[in-house]
Amino acid sequence: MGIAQEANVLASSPVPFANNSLVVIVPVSNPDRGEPVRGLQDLARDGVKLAIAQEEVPAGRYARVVIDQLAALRPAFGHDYAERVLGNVVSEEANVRGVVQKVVLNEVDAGIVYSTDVSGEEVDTSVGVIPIPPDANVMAVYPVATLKESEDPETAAAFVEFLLSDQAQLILRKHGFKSPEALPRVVRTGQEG
Amino acid sequence: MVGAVSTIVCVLFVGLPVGALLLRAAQREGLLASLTSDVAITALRLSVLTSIAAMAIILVAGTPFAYVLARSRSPLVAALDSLVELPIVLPPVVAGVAMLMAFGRNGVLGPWLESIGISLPFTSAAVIFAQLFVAAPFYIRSAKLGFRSVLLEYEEVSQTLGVSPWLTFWRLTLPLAGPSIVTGIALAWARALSEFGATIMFAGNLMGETQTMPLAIMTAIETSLDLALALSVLLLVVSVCILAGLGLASRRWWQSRW
Repeated sequence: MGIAQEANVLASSPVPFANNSLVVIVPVSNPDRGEPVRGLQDLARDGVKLAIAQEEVPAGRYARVVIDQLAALRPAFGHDYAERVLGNVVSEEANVRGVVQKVVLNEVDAGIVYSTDVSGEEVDTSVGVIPIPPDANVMAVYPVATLKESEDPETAAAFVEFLLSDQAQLILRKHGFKSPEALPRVVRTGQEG
Repeated sequence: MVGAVSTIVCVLFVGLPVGALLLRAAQREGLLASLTSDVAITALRLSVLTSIAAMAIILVAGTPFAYVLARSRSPLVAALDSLVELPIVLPPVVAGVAMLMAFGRNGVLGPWLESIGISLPFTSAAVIFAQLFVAAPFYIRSAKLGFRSVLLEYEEVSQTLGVSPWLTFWRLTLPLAGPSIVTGIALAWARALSEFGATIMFAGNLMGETQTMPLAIMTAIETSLDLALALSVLLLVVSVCILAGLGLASRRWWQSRW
């Protein structure tokens, strides 16, 4: 969105309409396998296989931030927590769904993804979710704005307004998103802008 | 006339995108820096080494099999024939999932492999496995057609003249099937070098371990189209060099044998 703003193609200033945060997902326990990952501290255990998204995509960047923050905020996890966790990374997936796939297929012991990346069905059948406490978590913010090049600016503006409505927020929450703290009003710049 | 038009159409259709890619990459500043970056060198080394390993296995294991496919008249072998070509039509990502189902830690062979201390997914060996799976059919298919084009009578004559079957294969069948075999090697090697879907599924993506050139390109494309383009050009140049070298070497080889 920053790039779009700099390129001066936006007709309205961007407003956040949804938030998302990270969770650790694990395969549902397999009795044949050794000790499963039960908590955030286990991510640093020797031999644990961890999948995260590559650093170039937001989910991957945030996963690394969360690991660093856990290391800083939880001295009990050990002084080398971050290094050990990153050392357990066996794959940096091109996207978050890649991480989910590896966990669903039970080829890794844990993955770090957005809470919205696991479908309800996956949570019910094949994936366990370990929450990351808010103090160490990273909030992804999704902004929306209309475009100057829009062929139908009124519909575009109406859609932005809809996204901020209670009705749309309910739908978003159903799919794992969180509503932004306070939903700002849509600010429209003039058509001539 | 038709030939000329067809040539122009084909050359333009293939040449234009490749030319545009090269041009765009050449216009970028920092092309050289991208080409010699850590990511590029590491990925290139892994790509070349894994594809050479895959090709060596394909040649050693695939050539006798291709010969059997070419010569056998048993219906069982005919059924095998179509089975072997299955990976060509299988989407690579599905191939990767299939490999996990077979060799992953929850796969058919997974528990057994684990019991002898082998874990394949997320290793360079898994990269080679993925390349083997998708590339071998191209070689086997081509080599089979090559062997089939050598008349059985030639081999029989050679052997009635007292030349051993092994020497007959080496001195007669192999050279006659040579062009098809080299084509097969080129096709399979190119396919191995460009392999992406099965690799990321079965081997994952980790620099220095499993991140081959196509994976590095996909990783780079998330942040920098320029780096992705530079890596693509590098892969293109290396592939062309390998294929051209292959053609040259094989021509020499034949000239020296005839």
